[in-house]
Amino acid sequence: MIYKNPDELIFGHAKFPVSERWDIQFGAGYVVPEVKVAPQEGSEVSKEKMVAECRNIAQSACQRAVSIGLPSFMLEQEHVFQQTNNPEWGGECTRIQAEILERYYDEYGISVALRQTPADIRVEERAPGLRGSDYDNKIEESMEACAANGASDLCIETMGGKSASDYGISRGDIKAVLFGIGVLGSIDMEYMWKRIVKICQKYDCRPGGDTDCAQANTAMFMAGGLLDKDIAHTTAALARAMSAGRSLVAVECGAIGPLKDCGYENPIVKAISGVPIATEGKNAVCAHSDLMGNLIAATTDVWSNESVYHRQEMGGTTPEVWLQATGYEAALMNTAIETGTSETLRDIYTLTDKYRDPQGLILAYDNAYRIGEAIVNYGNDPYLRARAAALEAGKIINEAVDAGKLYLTRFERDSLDNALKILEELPLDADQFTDECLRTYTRKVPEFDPKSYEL
Amino acid sequence: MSNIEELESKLDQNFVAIRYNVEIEGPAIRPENDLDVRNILPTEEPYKSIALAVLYGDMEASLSNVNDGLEAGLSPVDIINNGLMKGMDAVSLLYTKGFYFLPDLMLSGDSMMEGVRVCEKILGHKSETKGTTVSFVAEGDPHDIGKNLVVMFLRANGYDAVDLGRDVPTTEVIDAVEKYKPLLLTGTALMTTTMTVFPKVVEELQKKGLEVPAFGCGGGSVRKDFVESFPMSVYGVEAYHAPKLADSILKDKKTWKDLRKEYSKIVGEFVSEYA
Amino acid sequence: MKNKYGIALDIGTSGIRAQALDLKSSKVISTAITLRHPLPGANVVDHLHFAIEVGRDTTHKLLLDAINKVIKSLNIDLQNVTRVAVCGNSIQLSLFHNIEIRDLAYWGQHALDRLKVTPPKRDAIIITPEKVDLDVNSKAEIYIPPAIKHEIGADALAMLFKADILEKEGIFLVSDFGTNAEIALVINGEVYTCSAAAGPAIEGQMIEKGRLASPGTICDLELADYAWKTRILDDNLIAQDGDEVDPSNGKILSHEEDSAKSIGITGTGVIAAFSLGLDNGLINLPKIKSSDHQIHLQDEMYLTEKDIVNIGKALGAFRAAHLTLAEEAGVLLEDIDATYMAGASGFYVDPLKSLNVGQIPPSSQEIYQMGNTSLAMARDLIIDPSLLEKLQSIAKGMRSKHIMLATSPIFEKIYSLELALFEQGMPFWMYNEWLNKYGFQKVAPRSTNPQIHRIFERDIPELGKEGLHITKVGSILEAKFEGCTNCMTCMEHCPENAITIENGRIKVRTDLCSGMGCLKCVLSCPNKVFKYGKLLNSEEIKAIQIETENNTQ
Repeated sequence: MIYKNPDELIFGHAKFPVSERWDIQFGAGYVVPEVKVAPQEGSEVSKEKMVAECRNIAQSACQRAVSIGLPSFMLEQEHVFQQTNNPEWGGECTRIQAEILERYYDEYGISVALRQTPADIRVEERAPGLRGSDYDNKIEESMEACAANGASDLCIETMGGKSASDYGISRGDIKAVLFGIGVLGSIDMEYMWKRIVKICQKYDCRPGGDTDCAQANTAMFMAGGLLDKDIAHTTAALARAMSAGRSLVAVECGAIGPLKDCGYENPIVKAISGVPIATEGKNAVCAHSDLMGNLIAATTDVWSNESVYHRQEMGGTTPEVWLQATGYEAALMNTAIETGTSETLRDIYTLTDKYRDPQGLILAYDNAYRIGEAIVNYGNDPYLRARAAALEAGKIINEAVDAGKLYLTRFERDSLDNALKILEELPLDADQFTDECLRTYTRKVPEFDPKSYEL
Repeated sequence: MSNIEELESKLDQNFVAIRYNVEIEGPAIRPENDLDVRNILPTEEPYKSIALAVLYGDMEASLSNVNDGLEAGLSPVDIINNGLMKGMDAVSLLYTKGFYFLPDLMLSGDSMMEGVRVCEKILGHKSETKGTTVSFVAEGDPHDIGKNLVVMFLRANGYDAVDLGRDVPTTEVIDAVEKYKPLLLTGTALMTTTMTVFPKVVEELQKKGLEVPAFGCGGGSVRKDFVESFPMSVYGVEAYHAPKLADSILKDKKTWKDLRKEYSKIVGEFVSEYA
Repeated sequence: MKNKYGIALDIGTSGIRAQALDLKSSKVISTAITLRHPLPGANVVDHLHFAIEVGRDTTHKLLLDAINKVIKSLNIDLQNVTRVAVCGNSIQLSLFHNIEIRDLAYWGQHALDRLKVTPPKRDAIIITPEKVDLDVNSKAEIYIPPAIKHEIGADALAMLFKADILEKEGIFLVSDFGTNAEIALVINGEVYTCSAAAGPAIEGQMIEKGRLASPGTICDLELADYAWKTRILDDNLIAQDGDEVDPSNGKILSHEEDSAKSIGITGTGVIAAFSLGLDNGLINLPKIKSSDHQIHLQDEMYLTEKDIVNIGKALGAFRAAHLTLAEEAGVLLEDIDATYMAGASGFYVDPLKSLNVGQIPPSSQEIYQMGNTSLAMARDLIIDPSLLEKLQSIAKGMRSKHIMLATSPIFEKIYSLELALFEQGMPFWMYNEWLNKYGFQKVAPRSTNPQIHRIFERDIPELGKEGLHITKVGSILEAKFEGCTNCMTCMEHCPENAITIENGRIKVRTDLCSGMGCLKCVLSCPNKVFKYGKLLNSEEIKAIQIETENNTQ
């Protein structure tokens, strides 16, 4: 564990800060607001339209940033399918955005960063699977094009293992979830990130990080709000704990952060590795609803709005509006840092959502630290550490229930008990677990192809 | 105390976030921790474990606990009354509270009956029960889920419920009535073609000069006006009403005429068919 | 050269359907249907019970009177009919054929032994018109297809045959949704059958405002913002738009000018309400969350909590039957390649709603609505009589894998879960957990994009150039009961006004009487002299004034 005790975890600070061009640093003592805008529907029909969208987004964001006095911000472009599938589109969009950011940096001295996130367009159930397909190559080329055209850092949200974890989530099969996230997800992460880090090394571009959006976030969305009963929130919490082990792989392969925003598991990864992280919560409601909107800001280094369509609101276009929102929040956090009240603010953020839902409970920084320790205990084995993370998360939830701080419904209680029972009885031998899962899930999950993971 | 613990101690969660799902459904508590159940369950071992095994519908644990108890020299009657029946009482209570459902009842009922069977073997005779009832499915009818539920509820409430099975010829019913002199006879039928045996059963009983305090008739196709068109019978609505009807016969000496008139009152809930 | 004709006949629970075919061209010339079954009672078990009470011969006569009326409305020269093919379930065909039916009314040996009943072989057979008093050329051949086994009759065989899956590779589920739903799971040609006693709720009975499908009944509901738009069957039995109503209070939000007044709700209508109610939270089993615990539709039609529980138990029977079949056959329901819905109720229901409420497995991906397969198979027999032998060998081959649900411990366990779900409010996640606990498969999550294939646009695809005739059927049953004092109590108590009394003789109109499912006449008679079984068909069959209407479609 890079952090020696949970109290050291705080927003704006990371043990290994990252600096990127245009005079920006992450985790170096201040929080950077982030804005991410998706191109309007219909703009994906041609390169010109795409590039125009990207230009306008960058332009509006920069203009609003200086209009309200933001010292820094990060602009992220999460690729739509067409941008990654046509690498020169991705490259061209990056170039135009980099140009604009550079212009504002030159004129106003505002610290800026450009994050490019190609889409994972691979399809597991189509031959040849996840590895070596045209899509796979296109992703690499896209990465290269973005890095070459001025991106400050590169990220991606890989979906390896989604076939098995989706199956597990929709059927309450925790073993499949563990297999999908812990084993398959980690294997695929390694495959992707080794290449991404190599590409970044060729340019003045940083390998940022990944998130378990495809798996743990799916569980979170399907779990829904307090009244939804499709998936128990306790199950989703376990999935989230497992995902930290998987997202850590990017760092182990050389990613330096800031880890990508929709990784709600980032606080756990930060506790383990000390890299800066981006997170999103209450200012990401334009994209989705979560039950820990404030808590997730407690240890963040980049505060994001997740995603919003490019269009007009009453207060301006969406890049303007949502950068202002995240900008103000970052300013709040930075004021606290400057006035020495950051620890109190961190605790207030945490307590707002700590007992709102089990998913938030385990991400509270003190609990996230514990889960980090459980992961570190099993070091290099992706299966064992994901399993340990889930068991620790279960323990944390049970402690809170026993202490009368959080109550569970029957559904949440029974789901948690069943899941923990199954997890405890799993073999401690990773190969044995993998073999069992291969036998069961190649049959049950039609989209799962073991060859995509070299199994 | 760390900073966050200090702040947390000042916090009244209800002003910050309310878990509405828990508010509406009630927090999940272990069955044995329910306050009313606490009052029923025995506190001393080994009766407590025996009751808990029934509460959890754990057949294996129930059997092994009962055997341990017998080996330790406990009387089978005590095991039944202080252990097995107490467990079943708790199960019935949780069922009426809406915490346990039908399958829980069935599993627990089985665990209890297995234990009772073992005890009765040692005892050499049937254990003391509140009274005897006889249940059957009409001749020609294979559907016995309804009857199985009635038998289970009667047994859970301390009756020796004799189960004649399905497709029971009328002669067998008469013989059983003669042999057991039950305080309640129940008949179920799912088809209109088979329910026609019920009035025939009554006719045969009358011919032989036999009588039962009440003959409860129920099942999918059975209707109240049909059942009340012949004597001795009472239209049974829900399987779990059976023990209440039996209790009223046992304790208050109610007759079938009384049961017809006071059905809702006796079963303790509003029954639309008797409104 | 006179044209030779064939008649395809389907005797179903809700009525008789006949089609005349030109044997040379194999084309359909005309179609005649009745809107209800000629026997009193609105489900097949009622008909069976009627036959047992009143006697097989009287019943047979009533049935044939109606059939003869229907084939007359086909407007062809019946003396030129050389072939007739009949299809229907075992009860209907046995009544048609006038053979033993009591083995279908009782299960197990006791009753049959006591009554000295020998169950007849219900194999394929060709008989002559005289045997059954059918008014066609006496030299014509009547083809009766075989039953598969006991209550799985020729109609189930038709359903399987027309789905064309008996020789296909794959796993297929075929269900005929009626009072006695015949369900078959076909795995690479191996057929597992069962029959789920779903109960009459699925036909609209045991529902307070429920009716069999007929003009003026609400057969479906659609979402219109937060209101529900009713779909009502018109005189041609085609669904038309009705009013838009707020189901929690019955307020009409938008009135449809030309809409018929609704007189009741069909089983498919109740399923629609159930599905919409579950989705918007109005139904939270076992309760309805409106202020008066009822769901309100147009024209004062409503559904009560009891109705919801009744339809729920019927749906639960289907789901439990599907799971039981799958467990017995050792396959997973989610591995089914296609789901077939047969029968009129299977045709008129909205499959997406069926999916939603569990009437068909939610994981169904390819759904086929087949329409009237009995009539279709009867037509096939007319066109190719050699088919009869083929059907016999198919039926023989299928006899081994019939699962009696009533004695299956798997079904008992699963159906108890269904009762807990629908009557006691057990949550669905707990239901699934119990399935898991019992070692059974869980209910797989809902298919995201199910494909629905309506094999035909209407229940009967081709009506022929003469079009559709709707034939009214009805006869009079009479009796003079010893001890009758003419108090007229029975007449007053009859909910359908089917009884008149003339000169001390009780006269009951079969087209109005609800039969064995009602019996209010019997139960209300103060002197207990009304014995339904003593009613007889009058010497001169009094046909009620009927106008056969000529409806060209």
